[in-house]
Amino acid sequence: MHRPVNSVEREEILLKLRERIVAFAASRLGGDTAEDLAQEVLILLHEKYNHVNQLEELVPLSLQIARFKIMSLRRKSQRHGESTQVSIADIQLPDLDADPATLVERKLMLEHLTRAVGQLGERCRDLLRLKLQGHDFAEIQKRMGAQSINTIYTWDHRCRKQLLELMGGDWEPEKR
Amino acid sequence: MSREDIQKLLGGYATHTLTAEERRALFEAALDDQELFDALAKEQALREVLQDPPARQQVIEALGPAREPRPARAWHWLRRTPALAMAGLVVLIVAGMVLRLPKQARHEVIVADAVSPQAATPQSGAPHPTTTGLPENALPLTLSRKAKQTARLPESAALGDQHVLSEAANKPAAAPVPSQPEAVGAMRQLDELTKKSQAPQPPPPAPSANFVVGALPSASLSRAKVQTITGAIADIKYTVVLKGADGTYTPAPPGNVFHIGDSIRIQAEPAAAGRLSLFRRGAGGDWEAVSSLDVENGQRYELPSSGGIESPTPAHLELRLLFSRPDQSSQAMLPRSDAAAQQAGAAGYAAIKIELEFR
Repeated sequence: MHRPVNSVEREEILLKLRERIVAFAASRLGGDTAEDLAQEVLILLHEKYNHVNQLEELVPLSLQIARFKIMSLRRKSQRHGESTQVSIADIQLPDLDADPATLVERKLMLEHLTRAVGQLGERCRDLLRLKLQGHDFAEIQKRMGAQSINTIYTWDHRCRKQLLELMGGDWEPEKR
Repeated sequence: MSREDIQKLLGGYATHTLTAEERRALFEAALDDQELFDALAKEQALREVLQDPPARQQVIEALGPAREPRPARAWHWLRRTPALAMAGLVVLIVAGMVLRLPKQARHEVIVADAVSPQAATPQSGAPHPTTTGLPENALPLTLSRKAKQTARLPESAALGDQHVLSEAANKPAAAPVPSQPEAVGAMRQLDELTKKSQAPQPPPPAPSANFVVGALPSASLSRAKVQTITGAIADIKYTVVLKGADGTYTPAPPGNVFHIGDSIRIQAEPAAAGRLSLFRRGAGGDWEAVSSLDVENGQRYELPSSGGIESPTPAHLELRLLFSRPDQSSQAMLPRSDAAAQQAGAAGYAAIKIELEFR
Protein backbone atom coordinates (compact mmCIF):
# COMPACT_ATOMS: atom_id res chain seq x y z
CA MET A 1 0.00 0.00 0.00
CA HIS A 2 2.81 2.38 0.90
CA ARG A 3 5.14 3.60 -1.77
CA PRO A 4 8.77 2.73 -1.04
CA VAL A 5 10.71 5.73 0.16
CA ASN A 6 14.46 5.89 -0.30
CA SER A 7 16.82 7.58 2.11
CA VAL A 8 17.15 10.73 0.01
CA GLU A 9 13.39 11.18 -0.09
CA ARG A 10 13.23 10.58 3.62
CA GLU A 11 15.86 13.23 4.21
CA GLU A 12 13.93 15.67 2.07
CA ILE A 13 10.79 14.98 4.07
CA LEU A 14 12.65 15.41 7.35
CA LEU A 15 14.18 18.66 6.21
CA LYS A 16 10.82 20.11 5.24
CA LEU A 17 9.33 18.90 8.49
CA ARG A 18 12.11 20.56 10.40
CA GLU A 19 11.47 23.88 8.75
CA ARG A 20 7.74 23.65 9.38
CA ILE A 21 8.35 22.76 13.01
CA VAL A 22 10.78 25.65 13.48
CA ALA A 23 8.19 28.10 12.15
CA PHE A 24 5.36 26.60 14.18
CA ALA A 25 7.39 26.48 17.39
CA ALA A 26 8.75 29.98 16.84
CA SER A 27 5.22 31.34 16.95
CA ARG A 28 4.72 29.74 20.36
CA LEU A 29 8.12 29.73 21.98
CA GLY A 30 11.03 31.75 20.75
CA GLY A 31 13.51 31.70 17.89
CA ASP A 32 16.34 29.80 19.52
CA THR A 33 14.07 27.49 21.45
CA ALA A 34 12.18 26.71 18.27
CA GLU A 35 15.41 25.82 16.49
CA ASP A 36 16.46 23.58 19.34
CA LEU A 37 13.10 21.91 19.46
CA ALA A 38 13.24 21.16 15.75
CA GLN A 39 16.75 19.70 16.18
CA GLU A 40 15.47 17.46 18.93
CA VAL A 41 12.60 16.24 16.79
CA LEU A 42 15.06 15.54 14.02
CA ILE A 43 17.53 13.58 16.16
CA LEU A 44 14.69 11.47 17.50
CA LEU A 45 13.37 10.73 14.03
CA HIS A 46 16.90 9.92 12.95
CA GLU A 47 17.87 7.74 15.89
CA LYS A 48 14.82 6.20 17.45
CA TYR A 49 12.40 6.19 14.53
CA ASN A 50 14.83 5.42 11.77
CA HIS A 51 12.50 2.65 10.61
CA VAL A 52 9.72 5.15 9.94
CA ASN A 53 9.96 6.16 6.30
CA GLN A 54 6.50 6.98 5.04
CA LEU A 55 5.25 10.52 4.83
CA GLU A 56 1.91 9.36 6.24
CA GLU A 57 3.72 8.24 9.37
CA LEU A 58 6.44 10.84 9.62
CA VAL A 59 4.13 13.87 9.71
CA PRO A 60 1.92 12.73 12.62
CA LEU A 61 4.94 11.36 14.46
CA SER A 62 6.87 14.60 14.17
CA LEU A 63 3.81 16.57 15.25
CA GLN A 64 3.43 14.30 18.23
CA ILE A 65 7.05 14.70 19.26
CA ALA A 66 6.95 18.47 18.73
CA ARG A 67 3.80 18.81 20.79
CA PHE A 68 5.25 16.66 23.53
CA LYS A 69 8.32 18.85 23.63
CA ILE A 70 6.32 22.06 23.66
CA MET A 71 4.20 20.77 26.52
CA SER A 72 7.31 19.76 28.45
CA LEU A 73 8.84 23.19 27.95
CA ARG A 74 5.66 24.87 29.05
CA ARG A 75 5.37 22.77 32.17
CA LYS A 76 9.00 23.33 32.99
CA SER A 77 8.79 27.07 32.59
CA GLN A 78 5.62 27.16 34.69
CA ARG A 79 7.32 25.23 37.46
CA HIS A 80 10.29 27.58 37.37
CA GLY A 81 8.13 30.64 37.04
CA GLU A 82 10.13 31.64 34.00
CA SER A 83 9.31 32.69 30.52
CA THR A 84 9.25 30.09 27.77
CA GLN A 85 12.96 30.57 27.16
CA VAL A 86 14.40 27.41 28.62
CA SER A 87 18.00 26.34 28.19
CA ILE A 88 18.34 23.36 25.94
CA ALA A 89 20.62 21.79 28.52
CA ASP A 90 17.56 21.39 30.74
CA ILE A 91 15.51 19.62 28.14
CA GLN A 92 15.12 15.89 27.98
CA LEU A 93 14.08 14.27 24.76
CA PRO A 94 10.70 12.61 24.99
CA ASP A 95 10.21 8.92 24.98
CA LEU A 96 6.58 9.54 23.95
CA ASP A 97 5.44 7.22 26.69
CA ALA A 98 2.69 8.98 28.53
CA ASP A 99 4.03 10.47 31.70
CA PRO A 100 1.71 11.30 34.63
CA ALA A 101 1.42 14.97 33.67
CA THR A 102 0.44 14.09 30.13
CA LEU A 103 -2.11 11.59 31.35
CA VAL A 104 -3.68 14.19 33.61
CA GLU A 105 -3.83 16.71 30.76
CA ARG A 106 -5.45 14.19 28.46
CA LYS A 107 -7.98 13.23 31.10
CA LEU A 108 -8.86 16.87 31.62
CA MET A 109 -9.24 17.44 27.93
CA LEU A 110 -11.42 14.37 27.57
CA GLU A 111 -13.71 15.67 30.30
CA HIS A 112 -14.06 19.01 28.51
CA LEU A 113 -14.64 17.23 25.24
CA THR A 114 -17.36 14.93 26.52
CA ARG A 115 -19.15 17.89 28.08
CA ALA A 116 -18.91 19.91 24.89
CA VAL A 117 -20.08 17.23 22.45
CA GLY A 118 -23.27 16.80 24.46
CA GLN A 119 -24.17 20.39 23.63
CA LEU A 120 -23.83 19.97 19.88
CA GLY A 121 -26.87 19.86 17.63
CA GLU A 122 -28.25 16.55 16.40
CA ARG A 123 -26.64 16.76 12.99
CA CYS A 124 -23.23 17.52 14.43
CA ARG A 125 -23.56 14.69 16.91
CA ASP A 126 -24.49 12.29 14.10
CA LEU A 127 -21.56 13.45 12.01
CA LEU A 128 -19.03 13.23 14.82
CA ARG A 129 -20.31 9.83 15.88
CA LEU A 130 -19.83 8.46 12.36
CA LYS A 131 -16.34 9.93 12.21
CA LEU A 132 -15.41 8.37 15.52
CA GLN A 133 -16.82 5.05 14.41
CA GLY A 134 -14.21 5.06 11.67
CA HIS A 135 -16.27 5.97 8.61
CA ASP A 136 -14.62 8.09 5.96
CA PHE A 137 -16.28 11.15 4.46
CA ALA A 138 -17.71 9.27 1.48
CA GLU A 139 -19.38 6.72 3.75
CA ILE A 140 -20.68 9.47 5.99
CA GLN A 141 -22.20 11.18 2.97
CA LYS A 142 -24.18 8.04 2.14
CA ARG A 143 -25.26 7.42 5.69
CA MET A 144 -26.39 10.96 6.28
CA GLY A 145 -28.11 11.14 2.90
CA ALA A 146 -26.23 14.27 1.82
CA GLN A 147 -26.38 15.14 -1.85
CA SER A 148 -22.66 15.78 -2.21
CA ILE A 149 -19.52 15.20 -0.22
CA ASN A 150 -18.98 18.94 -0.14
CA THR A 151 -22.10 19.19 1.98
CA ILE A 152 -20.46 16.87 4.49
CA TYR A 153 -17.25 18.91 4.45
CA THR A 154 -19.28 22.06 5.10
CA TRP A 155 -21.20 20.45 7.96
CA ASP A 156 -17.96 19.11 9.36
CA HIS A 157 -16.33 22.53 9.24
CA ARG A 158 -19.26 24.15 11.04
CA CYS A 159 -19.53 21.41 13.61
CA ARG A 160 -15.82 21.53 14.44
CA LYS A 161 -16.03 25.27 14.76
CA GLN A 162 -18.99 24.95 17.10
CA LEU A 163 -17.25 22.29 19.15
CA LEU A 164 -14.12 24.38 19.42
CA GLU A 165 -16.16 27.33 20.63
CA LEU A 166 -17.85 25.13 23.22
CA MET A 167 -14.40 24.12 24.41
CA GLY A 168 -13.33 27.70 24.84
CA GLY A 169 -11.45 28.20 21.58
CA ASP A 170 -8.76 25.57 22.09
CA TRP A 171 -8.75 21.81 22.34
CA GLU A 172 -6.34 21.94 25.24
CA PRO A 173 -7.84 23.34 28.44
CA GLU A 174 -4.40 24.03 29.90
CA LYS A 175 -3.79 26.91 27.51
CA ARG A 176 -6.86 28.80 28.59
CA MET B 1 -6.58 18.68 -5.24
CA SER B 2 -6.89 22.40 -4.79
CA ARG B 3 -5.81 24.12 -1.59
CA GLU B 4 -9.46 24.61 -0.73
CA ASP B 5 -10.11 20.88 -1.11
CA ILE B 6 -7.11 20.06 1.03
CA GLN B 7 -8.36 22.37 3.79
CA LYS B 8 -11.57 20.35 3.89
CA LEU B 9 -9.61 17.26 4.83
CA LEU B 10 -8.28 18.91 7.96
CA GLY B 11 -11.38 17.91 9.88
CA GLY B 12 -10.62 14.25 9.35
CA TYR B 13 -7.10 14.32 10.79
CA ALA B 14 -7.88 14.15 14.49
CA THR B 15 -10.64 11.56 14.11
CA HIS B 16 -8.69 9.28 11.72
CA THR B 17 -11.43 9.74 9.15
CA LEU B 18 -9.20 10.13 6.11
CA THR B 19 -8.48 7.50 3.52
CA ALA B 20 -4.86 6.71 2.68
CA GLU B 21 -5.00 8.93 -0.41
CA GLU B 22 -6.57 11.80 1.49
CA ARG B 23 -3.99 11.50 4.25
CA ARG B 24 -1.14 11.58 1.79
CA ALA B 25 -2.59 14.58 -0.04
CA LEU B 26 -3.06 16.44 3.24
CA PHE B 27 0.45 15.75 4.52
CA GLU B 28 2.14 16.54 1.22
CA ALA B 29 0.35 19.86 1.15
CA ALA B 30 1.24 20.56 4.78
CA LEU B 31 4.95 20.13 4.06
CA ASP B 32 4.78 23.09 1.69
CA ASP B 33 2.15 25.17 3.44
CA GLN B 34 3.02 26.57 6.85
CA GLU B 35 -0.54 27.65 7.58
CA LEU B 36 -1.85 24.17 6.92
CA PHE B 37 0.96 22.61 8.94
CA ASP B 38 0.14 24.88 11.88
CA ALA B 39 -3.51 23.92 11.62
CA LEU B 40 -2.54 20.25 11.68
CA ALA B 41 -0.31 20.84 14.68
CA LYS B 42 -3.20 22.45 16.52
CA GLU B 43 -5.32 19.36 15.85
CA GLN B 44 -2.66 17.11 17.32
CA ALA B 45 -3.90 17.38 20.91
CA LEU B 46 -7.38 16.26 19.91
CA ARG B 47 -5.96 13.48 17.78
CA GLU B 48 -3.95 12.11 20.66
CA VAL B 49 -6.98 11.99 22.93
CA LEU B 50 -9.13 10.32 20.30
CA GLN B 51 -6.38 7.85 19.53
CA ASP B 52 -7.09 6.10 22.79
CA PRO B 53 -9.93 3.60 22.16
CA PRO B 54 -11.57 3.92 25.62
CA ALA B 55 -11.48 7.72 25.33
CA ARG B 56 -12.97 7.50 21.86
CA GLN B 57 -15.74 5.26 23.16
CA GLN B 58 -16.39 7.69 25.99
CA VAL B 59 -16.91 10.51 23.51
CA ILE B 60 -19.20 8.35 21.39
CA GLU B 61 -21.28 7.60 24.47
CA ALA B 62 -21.40 11.28 25.35
CA LEU B 63 -22.86 11.93 21.91
CA GLY B 64 -25.92 9.92 22.89
CA PRO B 65 -27.69 7.16 20.97
CA ALA B 66 -27.45 7.22 17.21
CA ARG B 67 -30.42 8.53 15.28
CA GLU B 68 -31.71 6.58 12.33
CA PRO B 69 -31.49 8.19 8.91
CA ARG B 70 -34.36 10.50 8.07
CA PRO B 71 -36.23 8.17 5.63
CA ALA B 72 -36.02 5.33 8.10
CA ARG B 73 -37.28 7.55 10.91
CA ALA B 74 -40.26 8.58 8.81
CA TRP B 75 -41.03 5.02 7.85
CA HIS B 76 -40.87 3.76 11.41
CA TRP B 77 -43.03 6.59 12.57
CA LEU B 78 -45.68 5.68 10.07
CA ARG B 79 -45.45 1.99 10.82
CA ARG B 80 -45.63 2.36 14.55
CA THR B 81 -48.46 4.80 14.61
CA PRO B 82 -50.77 4.10 11.68
CA ALA B 83 -53.75 5.41 13.58
CA LEU B 84 -51.90 8.60 14.32
CA ALA B 85 -50.87 8.85 10.71
CA MET B 86 -54.43 8.36 9.59
CA ALA B 87 -55.62 10.88 12.12
CA GLY B 88 -53.06 13.29 10.83
CA LEU B 89 -54.26 12.70 7.35
CA VAL B 90 -57.84 13.37 8.33
CA VAL B 91 -56.78 16.52 10.15
CA LEU B 92 -55.00 17.69 7.04
CA ILE B 93 -58.05 17.07 4.88
CA VAL B 94 -60.40 18.75 7.30
CA ALA B 95 -58.02 21.65 7.78
CA GLY B 96 -57.82 22.06 4.04
CA MET B 97 -61.59 22.13 3.71
CA VAL B 98 -61.98 24.59 6.54
CA LEU B 99 -59.39 26.85 5.03
CA ARG B 100 -61.10 26.63 1.70
CA LEU B 101 -64.51 27.78 2.91
CA PRO B 102 -63.68 31.31 4.02
CA LYS B 103 -61.73 31.82 0.84
CA GLN B 104 -64.73 30.89 -1.23
CA ALA B 105 -66.94 33.16 0.77
CA ARG B 106 -64.56 36.03 0.34
CA HIS B 107 -64.40 35.43 -3.36
CA GLU B 108 -68.15 35.31 -3.53
CA VAL B 109 -68.46 38.66 -1.85
CA ILE B 110 -65.96 40.29 -4.14
CA VAL B 111 -67.54 38.85 -7.23
CA ALA B 112 -70.98 39.81 -6.11
CA ASP B 113 -69.91 43.36 -5.43
CA ALA B 114 -68.29 43.62 -8.76
CA VAL B 115 -71.06 42.06 -10.84
CA SER B 116 -74.21 43.61 -9.41
CA PRO B 117 -73.55 46.42 -7.01
CA GLN B 118 -76.87 48.03 -7.81
CA ALA B 119 -78.82 44.92 -7.07
CA ALA B 120 -77.07 44.68 -3.82
CA THR B 121 -77.96 48.15 -2.61
CA PRO B 122 -80.03 50.93 -4.13
CA GLN B 123 -77.77 53.63 -2.72
CA SER B 124 -74.62 54.43 -4.61
CA GLY B 125 -71.62 56.48 -3.78
CA ALA B 126 -69.58 56.36 -0.63
CA PRO B 127 -70.64 53.84 1.93
CA HIS B 128 -72.68 55.24 4.75
CA PRO B 129 -72.46 54.16 8.29
CA THR B 130 -75.18 51.81 9.27
CA THR B 131 -76.80 51.38 12.59
CA THR B 132 -74.14 48.87 13.45
CA GLY B 133 -71.46 51.34 12.69
CA LEU B 134 -70.08 49.35 9.78
CA PRO B 135 -70.15 50.19 6.08
CA GLU B 136 -73.06 48.73 4.20
CA ASN B 137 -70.95 46.59 1.94
CA ALA B 138 -69.58 44.92 5.03
CA LEU B 139 -72.87 43.11 5.45
CA PRO B 140 -73.36 41.30 2.18
CA LEU B 141 -74.62 38.05 3.63
CA THR B 142 -77.88 37.81 1.71
CA LEU B 143 -76.30 39.34 -1.33
CA SER B 144 -73.46 36.89 -1.38
CA ARG B 145 -75.89 34.01 -1.17
CA LYS B 146 -77.68 35.36 -4.19
CA ALA B 147 -74.45 35.86 -6.03
CA LYS B 148 -73.39 32.35 -5.21
CA GLN B 149 -76.18 31.10 -7.41
CA THR B 150 -75.12 33.09 -10.44
CA ALA B 151 -71.45 33.83 -10.19
CA ARG B 152 -68.89 31.34 -11.49
CA LEU B 153 -66.18 31.02 -8.94
CA PRO B 154 -62.69 29.90 -9.81
CA GLU B 155 -61.54 26.48 -8.65
CA SER B 156 -59.96 26.67 -5.27
CA ALA B 157 -56.33 25.70 -5.18
CA ALA B 158 -56.73 24.51 -1.64
CA LEU B 159 -58.46 21.32 -2.68
CA GLY B 160 -55.77 20.52 -5.18
CA ASP B 161 -53.04 20.97 -2.58
CA GLN B 162 -54.89 18.83 -0.17
CA HIS B 163 -55.12 16.11 -2.76
CA VAL B 164 -51.40 16.19 -3.30
CA LEU B 165 -50.81 16.00 0.40
CA SER B 166 -53.03 13.00 0.67
CA GLU B 167 -51.14 11.25 -2.05
CA ALA B 168 -47.86 12.00 -0.39
CA ALA B 169 -49.05 10.68 2.91
CA ASN B 170 -50.21 7.42 1.37
CA LYS B 171 -47.04 6.92 -0.59
CA PRO B 172 -44.82 4.24 0.95
CA ALA B 173 -41.71 5.70 2.52
CA ALA B 174 -38.25 4.73 1.32
CA ALA B 175 -36.96 1.37 2.49
CA PRO B 176 -35.36 1.60 5.90
CA VAL B 177 -31.62 1.91 5.95
CA PRO B 178 -29.96 -1.08 7.55
CA SER B 179 -28.65 -0.53 11.04
CA GLN B 180 -25.12 0.77 11.44
CA PRO B 181 -22.39 -1.80 11.64
CA GLU B 182 -20.17 -2.13 14.61
CA ALA B 183 -17.67 0.67 14.95
CA VAL B 184 -14.84 0.25 12.54
CA GLY B 185 -11.44 -0.22 14.15
CA ALA B 186 -10.53 3.34 14.94
CA MET B 187 -6.80 3.29 15.20
CA ARG B 188 -4.86 3.32 12.00
CA GLN B 189 -1.40 4.43 11.05
CA LEU B 190 -0.07 5.97 14.21
CA ASP B 191 -1.22 3.13 16.41
CA GLU B 192 0.83 0.69 14.43
CA LEU B 193 3.67 3.12 14.49
CA THR B 194 3.55 3.53 18.23
CA LYS B 195 3.49 -0.23 18.67
CA LYS B 196 6.47 -0.51 16.38
CA SER B 197 8.41 2.07 18.34
CA GLN B 198 7.47 0.50 21.66
CA ALA B 199 8.50 -2.95 20.51
CA PRO B 200 12.13 -3.92 20.96
CA GLN B 201 14.03 -2.21 18.21
CA PRO B 202 16.02 -4.28 15.75
CA PRO B 203 19.71 -3.53 15.54
CA PRO B 204 20.33 -0.32 13.61
CA PRO B 205 20.42 -0.93 9.88
CA ALA B 206 23.65 -0.70 8.01
CA PRO B 207 24.21 2.71 6.47
CA SER B 208 22.50 2.99 3.12
CA ALA B 209 24.44 3.21 -0.10
CA ASN B 210 24.56 6.96 -0.28
CA PHE B 211 25.99 7.30 3.19
CA VAL B 212 29.69 7.36 3.85
CA VAL B 213 31.03 5.90 7.01
CA GLY B 214 34.21 7.62 8.08
CA ALA B 215 36.40 7.70 11.16
CA LEU B 216 38.78 9.81 13.10
CA PRO B 217 42.51 9.19 12.77
CA SER B 218 43.14 5.61 13.70
CA ALA B 219 45.44 6.58 16.52
CA SER B 220 42.56 7.84 18.61
CA LEU B 221 40.34 4.85 17.93
CA SER B 222 41.92 2.81 20.66
CA ARG B 223 40.10 4.88 23.22
CA ALA B 224 37.60 6.97 21.31
CA LYS B 225 35.57 5.25 18.69
CA VAL B 226 34.27 7.86 16.34
CA GLN B 227 31.99 7.00 13.51
CA THR B 228 30.92 9.61 11.04
CA ILE B 229 27.72 9.27 9.09
CA THR B 230 27.17 11.80 6.39
CA GLY B 231 24.62 11.95 3.65
CA ALA B 232 25.02 13.92 0.47
CA ILE B 233 25.74 16.89 2.67
CA ALA B 234 29.26 18.19 2.76
CA ASP B 235 31.39 16.77 5.55
CA ILE B 236 31.74 18.53 8.82
CA LYS B 237 35.25 18.54 10.16
CA TYR B 238 35.28 17.63 13.81
CA THR B 239 37.75 16.71 16.48
CA VAL B 240 37.52 15.44 20.03
CA VAL B 241 39.32 17.95 22.24
CA LEU B 242 40.47 17.33 25.78
CA LYS B 243 40.85 19.82 28.60
CA GLY B 244 44.44 20.22 29.67
CA ALA B 245 45.95 21.18 32.98
CA ASP B 246 45.94 24.84 31.94
CA GLY B 247 42.18 24.73 31.33
CA THR B 248 42.36 24.97 27.56
CA TYR B 249 40.94 22.39 25.19
CA THR B 250 43.32 20.86 22.69
CA PRO B 251 42.90 17.93 20.27
CA ALA B 252 43.20 14.65 22.08
CA PRO B 253 46.57 13.16 21.12
CA PRO B 254 46.63 9.87 19.24
CA GLY B 255 46.31 6.98 21.61
CA ASN B 256 45.00 9.13 24.41
CA VAL B 257 43.15 7.31 27.16
CA PHE B 258 40.09 9.04 28.56
CA HIS B 259 39.81 8.79 32.28
CA ILE B 260 37.20 9.54 34.84
CA GLY B 261 37.33 13.26 35.42
CA ASP B 262 38.48 14.10 31.90
CA SER B 263 36.55 16.93 30.29
CA ILE B 264 35.89 16.62 26.59
CA ARG B 265 34.41 18.81 23.90
CA ILE B 266 33.66 18.32 20.24
CA GLN B 267 35.28 20.87 17.98
CA ALA B 268 33.42 21.19 14.68
CA GLU B 269 33.84 23.13 11.48
CA PRO B 270 30.76 22.92 9.28
CA ALA B 271 30.91 23.40 5.53
CA ALA B 272 27.72 25.46 5.43
CA ALA B 273 25.65 27.71 7.62
CA GLY B 274 23.06 26.00 9.75
CA ARG B 275 22.26 24.69 13.20
CA LEU B 276 24.68 22.43 15.04
CA SER B 277 23.55 20.41 18.04
CA LEU B 278 25.28 17.91 20.29
CA PHE B 279 23.28 15.14 21.96
CA ARG B 280 24.31 12.58 24.51
CA ARG B 281 22.50 9.32 25.20
CA GLY B 282 21.38 9.18 28.80
CA ALA B 283 21.30 6.21 31.12
CA GLY B 284 17.66 5.55 30.25
CA GLY B 285 18.41 5.52 26.53
CA ASP B 286 16.93 8.95 25.85
CA TRP B 287 18.86 11.54 23.91
CA GLU B 288 19.75 14.56 26.00
CA ALA B 289 20.57 17.84 24.34
CA VAL B 290 24.00 19.02 25.43
CA SER B 291 24.46 22.14 23.37
CA SER B 292 23.16 23.82 20.25
CA LEU B 293 24.46 26.68 18.12
CA ASP B 294 23.79 28.62 14.94
CA VAL B 295 26.91 28.16 12.84
CA GLU B 296 28.49 29.75 9.79
CA ASN B 297 30.38 28.18 6.95
CA GLY B 298 34.07 27.56 7.67
CA GLN B 299 34.03 28.76 11.27
CA ARG B 300 35.23 26.56 14.12
CA TYR B 301 32.97 25.87 17.08
CA GLU B 302 33.20 23.88 20.30
CA LEU B 303 30.30 22.04 21.84
CA PRO B 304 29.45 22.48 24.59
CA SER B 305 30.67 26.04 24.53
CA SER B 306 30.97 26.09 28.32
CA GLY B 307 31.87 23.19 30.55
CA GLY B 308 32.61 19.82 29.03
CA ILE B 309 31.46 16.25 28.68
CA GLU B 310 32.56 14.16 31.60
CA SER B 311 31.87 10.75 33.04
CA PRO B 312 32.00 10.09 36.78
CA THR B 313 32.31 6.35 36.20
CA PRO B 314 33.83 4.09 33.56
CA ALA B 315 31.39 4.22 30.72
CA HIS B 316 30.74 3.97 27.04
CA LEU B 317 29.41 7.36 25.93
CA GLU B 318 27.31 7.78 22.82
CA LEU B 319 27.18 11.23 21.27
CA ARG B 320 25.47 12.60 18.17
CA LEU B 321 26.52 15.74 16.39
CA LEU B 322 23.56 16.92 14.34
CA PHE B 323 23.94 19.55 11.67
CA SER B 324 20.93 20.96 9.86
CA ARG B 325 21.07 23.50 7.15
CA PRO B 326 18.25 25.87 6.14
CA ASP B 327 15.77 24.72 3.55
CA GLN B 328 16.11 25.04 -0.21
CA SER B 329 14.50 28.45 -0.34
CA SER B 330 17.15 29.98 1.87
CA GLN B 331 19.83 28.18 -0.13
CA ALA B 332 18.87 30.35 -3.08
CA MET B 333 20.24 33.30 -1.13
CA LEU B 334 23.71 31.82 -0.78
CA PRO B 335 26.47 33.35 -2.93
CA ARG B 336 27.19 31.28 -6.02
CA SER B 337 30.88 31.25 -5.25
CA ASP B 338 30.17 29.39 -2.03
CA ALA B 339 30.68 25.97 -3.55
CA ALA B 340 30.64 24.16 -0.25
CA ALA B 341 27.36 25.72 0.68
CA GLN B 342 25.90 24.78 -2.68
CA GLN B 343 27.02 21.24 -2.13
CA ALA B 344 25.60 21.25 1.36
CA GLY B 345 22.30 22.26 -0.13
CA ALA B 346 21.96 18.84 -1.69
CA ALA B 347 20.71 17.44 1.60
CA GLY B 348 19.34 18.92 4.75
CA TYR B 349 21.17 17.42 7.63
CA ALA B 350 23.96 15.19 8.81
CA ALA B 351 24.12 13.14 11.97
CA ILE B 352 27.56 12.20 13.19
CA LYS B 353 27.90 9.27 15.53
CA ILE B 354 30.63 9.55 18.15
CA GLU B 355 31.38 6.88 20.73
CA LEU B 356 33.82 7.40 23.60
CA GLU B 357 35.17 4.98 26.14
CA PHE B 358 35.97 6.24 29.61
CA ARG B 359 38.05 3.99 31.81
